[in-house]
Amino acid sequence: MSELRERLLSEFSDETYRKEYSEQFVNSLLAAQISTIREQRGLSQSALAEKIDKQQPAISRIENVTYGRWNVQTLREIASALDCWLDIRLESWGKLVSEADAFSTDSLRRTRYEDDPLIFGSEAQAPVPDPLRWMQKNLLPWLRLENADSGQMARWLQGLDLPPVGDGEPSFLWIVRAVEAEPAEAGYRELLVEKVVALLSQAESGTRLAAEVFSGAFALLANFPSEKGWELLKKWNAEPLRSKKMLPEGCLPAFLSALIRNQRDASLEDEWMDTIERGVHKWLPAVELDGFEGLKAIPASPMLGRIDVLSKGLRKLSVAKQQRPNTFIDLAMVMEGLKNSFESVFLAEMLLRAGLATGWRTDVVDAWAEVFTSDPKAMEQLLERVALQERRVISSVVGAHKTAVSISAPQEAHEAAVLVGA
Amino acid sequence: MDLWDYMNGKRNEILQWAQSLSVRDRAALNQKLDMLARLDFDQARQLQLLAGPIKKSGHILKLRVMGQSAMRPLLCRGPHAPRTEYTLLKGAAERDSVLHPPGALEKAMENREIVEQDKTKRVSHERA
Repeated sequence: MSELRERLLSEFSDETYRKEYSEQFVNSLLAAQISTIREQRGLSQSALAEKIDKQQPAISRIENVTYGRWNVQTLREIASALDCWLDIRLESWGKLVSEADAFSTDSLRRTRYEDDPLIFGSEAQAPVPDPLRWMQKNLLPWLRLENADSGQMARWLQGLDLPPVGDGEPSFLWIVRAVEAEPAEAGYRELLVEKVVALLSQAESGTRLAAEVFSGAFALLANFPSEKGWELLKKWNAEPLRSKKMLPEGCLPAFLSALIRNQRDASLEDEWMDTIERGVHKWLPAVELDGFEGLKAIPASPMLGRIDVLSKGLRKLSVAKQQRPNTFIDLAMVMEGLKNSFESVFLAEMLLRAGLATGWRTDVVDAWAEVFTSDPKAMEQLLERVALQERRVISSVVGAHKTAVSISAPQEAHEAAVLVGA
Repeated sequence: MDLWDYMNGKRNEILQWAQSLSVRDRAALNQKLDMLARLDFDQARQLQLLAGPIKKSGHILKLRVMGQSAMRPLLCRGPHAPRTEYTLLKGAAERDSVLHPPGALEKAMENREIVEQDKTKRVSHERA
C-alpha cells in the first residue's frame, strides 16, 4: 500500500476532513485534466475558448485549481471541443482514495475517438466476455478434480453459473463446446463422461435430479459415446426406469438418443429395428428416432457392422414404402444428413451396398447419385469396385455437373450398356 | 517531486503551522501538497497552484490554497535539486493581497538561505 493511500485512509475517518479533501480534489482534477487534454490536442487557451465561443480568461479560470464554480453546460462544451464526453457521477469515498493515489498527468490524458483502442483496437474486437473461454476456465479444472462435487455439473445443466452470454441455447452445449475445443488426446472427453455417469448414478441411489439435469446429462453422453456411458445406459434400458419413477417424462427421448448413439454391440438391434420400422420401443416413447430419422442415428461404431444394419433398416423401411409416397424424398434427405456425419465416399459406398441389398429402383439410385456428385472421379471408381464385388453391372455417365447411374442385373448388362452408349 | 520542511533547530515550523489550521484548511492544504508532488513545475504554475516568484524575493513561491482562509505557504524550488524538489519555508496566509504574519516573505528568504547552506536544516515533509 502506498504511503499516500495509507495516510488518506486514516485521515478520511474525519468526515469534515474527507469532505473538504474531496472538494479540493475535484477542483484540482478537473482543472488539471482540461489543461492536460487541451495541450494534448495542441490547443492554446485562446483556441479552446474560440471553439466554445468564450474568451481566453474563461479557460484560464477553469484551469485554475482553486476554481470550483463550473457550469455543467460549459463543461459539456469543453468536453465536446476536446473530442471527449463529460462523465458526472457520484462516488464512494474509497474511490477517492484510489483516484488520489493514482493521480498523475498521464492518467489525465484521453484519446480522440478515432484513436480509441476500445473502439478500434484489438480490445474492441475481442468478445467480452468470451463464453467458451469462460466455460473452459471453469469446467476443465473441475473435470480434473478427483472428488469433484457433482452438484456443480447439475447446476451447469440447469443453466446456472454459466457464461453471461448465450441465452437461449441448451446449457449442455456450453459444456460440449468447451470439451470439443480441446484435443481428444487431452482426455477431457473421458473425464466428462466419468463425471456425467457419476452424476446419473446418484439417481440410482435415490437422489432426485431435475428433468433438465437428466436431459442435459443424456445429451452429453450422446455427444461423447463411450464404453462407460454405454454400460450405464444399457443397464438402465434393461431395467425400465420409468416403472421406478426415476426419469421425468420429458427426458425420455434424450435417454433414447443417448442409448442409440452409445451402442457398442448388437444387443439392441432387434429393439432398434422395431423403433425404426414401427416407431415403438419396449418402454420409451420412440417418436424421434423412427423411420429414416432412426436410420440416420446409426452410430459410427464399427462393432455394429454399419452396412448390415443400414441394409436391414432400409429393407424394413422398403416394406413400408408402399404406404409412404414420399419415400424418395425421405431417402434423399437421409443421404444428405448422413453425408454431413460420415466421410462422404465411404458413406456413398455403404449406402449403395445397402441399397443393392434392398433392391433399389433406378429412381432411388438417381437420388443417391444426385447427393454424391461432388467428386465424380471417386464415384466412378466406387461404382466399378462395387459392381465387381456385387457381380452386377453398374453403368454410369459422369458429366460436368451430374452423374446418372443405372443398376442392372447381369442379364440386363447389354441393354444397360446400350442405354448409356458404352 | 519531493517535498521538504524547513527545520528551526529541532522544531518543524511548517508542521507546527499546519497543525494550527482548522480541519478543513488542513484537508485543503494536504490535497494541494499531494497534487504539487505529482505535477512538474510548469504544470503547477499553469494551473495556478504555484504563484511567483514573488517580486524582490528571488526564489520564493506561493502555494495557492483556498480553504476557509486563503493559505499561502511560502516555498522554493530545490534549493539543492531544483528540478525534483520543493522546500516549504514559512507558513503564511493572505488577506487583502498582503501576506500574514507580517515579515513572512523576509523570513522565508532567510530560511531558504539557511537550507541552501546546510542540508540538515530541513526534513522530509511531515503531514499534519
